[in-house]
Amino acid sequence: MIRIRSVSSWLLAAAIGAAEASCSRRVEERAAAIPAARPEDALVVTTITPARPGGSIVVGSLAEPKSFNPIVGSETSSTEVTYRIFDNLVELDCAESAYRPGLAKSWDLSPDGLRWTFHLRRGVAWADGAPFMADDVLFTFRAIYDSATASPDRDDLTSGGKPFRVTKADDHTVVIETARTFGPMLHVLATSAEIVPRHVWEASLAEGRMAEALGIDTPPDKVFGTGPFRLEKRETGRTVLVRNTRYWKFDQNGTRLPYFDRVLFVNTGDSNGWRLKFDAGEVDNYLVRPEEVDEMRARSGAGGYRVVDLGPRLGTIHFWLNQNPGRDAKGNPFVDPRKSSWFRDLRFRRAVSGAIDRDAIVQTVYRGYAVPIRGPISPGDPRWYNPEVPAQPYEPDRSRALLSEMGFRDRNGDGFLEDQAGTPVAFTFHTNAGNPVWINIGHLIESDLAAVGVRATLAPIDFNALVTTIRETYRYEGCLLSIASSGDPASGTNVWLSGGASHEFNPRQESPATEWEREVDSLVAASLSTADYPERKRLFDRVQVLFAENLGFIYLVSDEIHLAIRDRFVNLRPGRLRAFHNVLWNEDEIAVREPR
Amino acid sequence: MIAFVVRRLLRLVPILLAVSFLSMFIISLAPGDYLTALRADPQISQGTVERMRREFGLDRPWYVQYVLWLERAVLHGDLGESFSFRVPVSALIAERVANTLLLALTSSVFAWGIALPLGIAAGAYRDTWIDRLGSGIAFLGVSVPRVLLALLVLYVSVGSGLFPAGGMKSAATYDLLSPWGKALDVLWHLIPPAFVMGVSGLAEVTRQMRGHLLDVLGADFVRTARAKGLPERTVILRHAARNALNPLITLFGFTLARLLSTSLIVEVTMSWPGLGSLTLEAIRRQDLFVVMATLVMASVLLVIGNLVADVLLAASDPRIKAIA
Amino acid sequence: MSDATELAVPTPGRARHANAAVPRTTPRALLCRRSAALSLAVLALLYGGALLAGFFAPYGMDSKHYREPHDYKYHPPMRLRFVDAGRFHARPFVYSSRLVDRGRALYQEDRAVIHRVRFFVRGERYPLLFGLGSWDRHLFGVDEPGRVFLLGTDLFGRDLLSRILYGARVSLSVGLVGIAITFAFGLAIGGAAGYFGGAVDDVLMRVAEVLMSLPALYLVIALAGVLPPTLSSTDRYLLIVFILSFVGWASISRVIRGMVLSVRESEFVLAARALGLPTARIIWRHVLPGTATYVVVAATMSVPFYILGEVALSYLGVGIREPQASWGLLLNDAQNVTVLRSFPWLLIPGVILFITVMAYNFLGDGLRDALDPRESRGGGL
Repeated sequence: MIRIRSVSSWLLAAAIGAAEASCSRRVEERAAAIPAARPEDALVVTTITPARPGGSIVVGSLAEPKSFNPIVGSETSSTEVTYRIFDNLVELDCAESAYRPGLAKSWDLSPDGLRWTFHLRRGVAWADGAPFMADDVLFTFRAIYDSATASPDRDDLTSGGKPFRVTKADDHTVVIETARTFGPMLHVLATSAEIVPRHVWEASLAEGRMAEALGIDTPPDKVFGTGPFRLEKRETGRTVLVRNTRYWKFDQNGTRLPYFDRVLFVNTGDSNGWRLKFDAGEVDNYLVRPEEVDEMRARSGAGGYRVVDLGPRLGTIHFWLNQNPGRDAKGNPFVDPRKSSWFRDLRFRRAVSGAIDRDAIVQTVYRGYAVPIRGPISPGDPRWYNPEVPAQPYEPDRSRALLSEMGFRDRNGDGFLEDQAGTPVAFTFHTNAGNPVWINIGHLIESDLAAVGVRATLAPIDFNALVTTIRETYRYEGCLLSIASSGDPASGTNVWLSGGASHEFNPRQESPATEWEREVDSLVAASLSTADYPERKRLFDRVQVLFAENLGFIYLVSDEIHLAIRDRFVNLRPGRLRAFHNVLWNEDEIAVREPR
Repeated sequence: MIAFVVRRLLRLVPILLAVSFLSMFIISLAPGDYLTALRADPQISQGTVERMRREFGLDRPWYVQYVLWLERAVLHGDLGESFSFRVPVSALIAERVANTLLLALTSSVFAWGIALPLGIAAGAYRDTWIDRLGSGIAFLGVSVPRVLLALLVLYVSVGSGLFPAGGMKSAATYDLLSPWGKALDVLWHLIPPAFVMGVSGLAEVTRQMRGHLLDVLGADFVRTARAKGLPERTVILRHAARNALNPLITLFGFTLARLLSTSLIVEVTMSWPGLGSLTLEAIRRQDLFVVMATLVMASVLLVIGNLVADVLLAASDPRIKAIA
Repeated sequence: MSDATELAVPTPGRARHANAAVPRTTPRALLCRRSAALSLAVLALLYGGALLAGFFAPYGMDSKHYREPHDYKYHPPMRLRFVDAGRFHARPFVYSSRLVDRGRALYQEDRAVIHRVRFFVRGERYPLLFGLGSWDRHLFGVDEPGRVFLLGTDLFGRDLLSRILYGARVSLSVGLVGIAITFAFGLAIGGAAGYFGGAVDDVLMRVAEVLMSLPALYLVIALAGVLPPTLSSTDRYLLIVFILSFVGWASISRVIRGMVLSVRESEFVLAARALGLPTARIIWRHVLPGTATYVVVAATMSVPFYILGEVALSYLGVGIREPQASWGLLLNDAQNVTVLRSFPWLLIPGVILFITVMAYNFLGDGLRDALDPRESRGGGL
C-alpha cells in the first residue's frame, strides 16, 4: 500500500536531469575548499558500527523553529535544531543516562565542592576554521548572564542565588566557581549551556543585541558552532542542515562523523499532517499517538519502518486541589473557606485519589499505553525514580468511608454528598482547553468522583488564562495539568520547595505550612549542596515518598513514548531523556544502512 | 475617475486607524500576554519574565502600546518585532505573503475556471437536469466542512500516491531540481490545497453567474440578437455572458480580499507555509505585533480589493462611470 | 460590497423588484420545486429529531460505556437483524458483542445471545426542553445487559446516534439564532442608515465598513479566546453565536441600506410621509417589507455559514466544549488518520452536516426562484 514517492519519483526524475551533475559538483567544491585537520583531542566513538558517510534524513516537526540562538530559544522546534549545531562542555548520553565528555575532555572538582575545573579539547575548530578556545566558553556565559539578553538558561546556572564565576586558567582550561556546592552542575552544563563562537557574536553582545542574534533572518553562513551540522538554508516550512566538515568526532575506522550529508527539518503542521507525510515517505520519523500504536505496528513491515517503544515519559500528569489559604487584594479568600478546609484535610485528598481509576484512564485515553504513577518522578526516569514509593490504589469504597468519616452524607437523595451545613460537596477544576487528551482524562475524573458522591466539574480554559489563574490570581479550586521533567530534580526546585512559585497547590509560602513540607524543604536544600549522586538520590527518594503520601499533587499517569523510524538507518540508540530527540539524539552517529 | 479613486484611497486611512485600534483593544482583552506561557515553565524565574516584559514593552497599558506602535509604524515604517521569532515582523510577513497569494490566486483560477462555465450552462439550460447538476456540484463544494475536506484530500493523496501530503516543496529533493523542476514541484504541491480552497468558492460564483445570465437574457438586446436569427450559442456566449460578467467583477474583488480568512484553515491543515498559519499561532500566543500587522494588512487587502473591483466595474460600464 | 455596486447595473428585474411592497408567491410555487420540497422535509426531520432528542436517543448525551463488563470503546455500528439461524423474527434484534482484541478495538458478534429491540422503553432519565420536567421513556432500546449502538461508539463507548441527536440541538439552532441576530442588526442599522441618510448614514456605514475590513475568522478566534473561562456551556454557546453574527451584519446592512435608499423616494413612501405617519411605522410597515425577499433568501443561504463556522471553531478549539455535543465537536474526534482508517463510522456526523447544509442551500435556491418575479417573466430558453 505504501508507495514511497512512486509518482513523485517519476515526475521529478524527468525534471532533475542536469541538476544531478551540478549537485555533485557543489559537494565536491565544498570538500575541496576546506582541508580539515584531525584535532589533537578528537573523540573516537566506539559504541557504534562504523558506516559510510552519505545520505540524509528528514525529520518531522510540529512548528517552525523560532530562532537558532541556543541562549534564547526555549521551544522544542528551535532547540531540536540548535542541538545539532552547537555543543556543550558535557554531553548527556540519553541511552545510558550518563554524562560524558563533550567539548571538555575531563573535569575535576575541588575538595570543598566549590571549584570545577574543565579541561577543554585541544585542536577543536569552529565550522569556519577558527580555533575553539576558553574565551568562547567565557563569552557564552557572559551572554547567558547578560541582563539585556534575559536568557531562560540563566536561572539554571545559578547557585545560592548567584551566577557562577567563570574564568580561564589558560586557553584550554576553564574554572567555574559556585557560591555553594552545586550538585546538578554536569546536568545543567549538558542541557543549558551550548557554546557559541565569540569571534562571530562578540559585537552583538556588546551592542546589547544578543537576543536577536542567530535569528531566522541571520545569513546561514553565520549560523554554525562546533556541532555535527551547520545551517545550510532555512525557509518557512523547511530547515536544512549540512554536515560540518570540521566536526571533532571520528569512528573507529578514522572516518570523521557525522555520516549524514544533510538533516532536514520539515514543519508538518499538525499530527495528522505528520502522519500522512510519514506514510507517504516524505519524512523519516513520527511521534506515534497512543491510538495509532497498534495500527502502525501492524503496518510496519509493509511500510518499511519500526515502532520503537521507549517506555513512560519523564513527565507526569497530575491533579491538585487549591490549598492556598491566602486572600486577594480586596480581602476575599482565594478559595471558599469551607471548601478550603476540605482540601487541606488529608482524608479528603486521599478519598479523591482513591476514587480515581487510573487503569481506566490508561485503557481508555491511552489505549493501554501509559502507566499509573505513584509520585512526582515517573518510572521512566532511570536515575531518580524511587520504586519504594507507596502505590495509589483504586479503592472507591475506602473513599466513601473517608468521606463519610468527614461527615458528608447524601442528605437530599440527589446522589451527591453534602456536608453538615447542607453545602454540596462539589468543586470545579480546570485544564488546558487546547489539549483534548487532558480533557478526556478530566471527564473520567468527573465520572469517577461522581461515583463516590463528589460533584467535580471540569472547566477547560485557554492555556494562557490557565497559567494566569494558577500563577497570579489563585482563584480556582482544582487543576489538572502535566509537568515535564528535564531529567534532574534540581531543575524543579520551584515545585518542591514550599516557597517555590511552581509549588502549585500552595505556592510561595513564607514558611512551610505543614510538617511534611518543612521536611521537604530541608531535604531539597541538603540535596542541592552536595555533588554526590548517591547522597542526592537518597535524599530525593524521601522527597518522593513525602509527596506521594501527602498528596499535595495527586499523581495520575505517565504516557508511554512510541516513535516510528524508517528501517534504513543504523546505529540508533533510543533513549528517553530528550523530548522529540528520543531516537535521533545521536544523529551524528546514525547512518543510512548499506544496501546488501 | 481619478477623483473617485483618490477619494476611496483617502478613506483607507481612517479605516486602518480604526481597524488597528480595534485589533489592539481586542487582543488586550485576552488574559495575560505573550510571556504568560513562559511563566508556566518552572525553570524560568519570575525575575527573567519581568525583565522580558519590560523589554517587550508589555508592562504598559494597551492604549499606550497602541500609540507607540502607531508612532513607530507611521514615522519609521517599523512594524515591530515578533516575540516568538525575535525578527522584524515585516521580514516574517514578506517571506510568507507570496505563498499565500500564490495559493489564493491558483484556487481562484481553479474555482472561477469551473464556476463560470457551470453557471452559464446552468442558466442557459435552466430547470433541466443540467441546471440541477450544476447547482448540485456547486453546493457540494460549500457543504463539506473545510477541515474535513482537507483531511480527506490529504488522505486520498497519500493513499493514491498521486499528490504530496501537504507542504509546498519536496523537502529532500527540491534543492536538487532545475528551475523548471522547482516550478513543477511547487505546482504539484499546490494542487491539493488549491482544490480545497477553490471548491468552496464555487457555489457562490456559479449561482451568481447563473442569476446574472438569466437577468441579461431577458434584456432587449438579447431579444434583438435572437430576432436577427443568430444561433443560440452565439447569443449566449458572445452577447449575454459577456454582459452578465460585469457584476461578477465585484465578487472577484471581494473574494480576493477575503483570502486571508479563507486560507487559514487550509494552510494549517495542509501545512502550506503562508500567512494563515503564522497568524493563527500569533493570535494564540498573543504575539502582539505580528497580529497587528496581519490584521492591518488584511484590511488593506480587503479595501484595495474592493476598490480595484469598483474601478474595473466603472471602467467597463459607462453608466457607473457617469455616476462616479 | 462597495458603493458603486449598490448603484450597480440596474437590471429590469431588480428595478421592478424594488417597488414591490410584498413578495408575491404562494407556498405552492415553492413546493413545486422538488429539490426544495425534499430539503424542507429533510430539515423538518432533523429539527424534529433535535427537539425530541432525549426520546429518540437510546442513551444519554454523555453516557459512557468503558468499564468492564460493559467495555464498548470504539464499537462499530450494530446491525439490526430480523433473521436468526434461519428463523424470522417480527421484531428486530441485535446480537450480543464480544471484545476480541482490546488494543485494536475488534469486536465479534456473539450469535448465541439475542437482544430484542423493544419500543417505548424505560431508560435513562433526561430533561425535556423548555423546563418541562423530565422523562425516561425512549423510542427504542434493549434490555440489560445488551446494548444497541446503531451508529457505533466513540472512545468512551458513548453511543454515536445519541450524541448526534443531542448535537443537533446545538448545530441546528446555531444557524437560526445566528441569522436572527445578524438580520435583526442588519435590518435595523441598514434601514436607519438608508432612511435617514446624511450624518446617520455616514457614521453607520463607516462603522460597517471597518467591521467588514477585519478578516472574519481571525476576529472570531481572537474574540472567542477572550471569553471568560468559567462560563456555563449555554452562555458560552450564546456568546459564540453572537460572535459569529457580529461578523455578518455589516454586509447585510449595506445591502439593506441600498434597497431602502431606492425605495425611499418612491411614491407610496412620499405619500405616507405626506400623510404624517410616524417614521418608525413607515420604515417598518412600508419600507422594510420590500427587502423581505432578499432577507428571506439571504437568511436561508446564511444558515450554512453558522453551521460550518461552528465546525471550524471546534477544530480550532475555541467553540463548544465537552461534554456538550455538537456536530463540530463530534467531527473533531474523527479528525485523525487512524480514526479514518479504523473507526470510519465516526465520520457520520460529517455526512449529516453535509446533508443539512445541502438541504439549506437547495431550500434557499428554491425560495429565490419561487420569490423571484423573473420566474413569471418566462425568460430563458
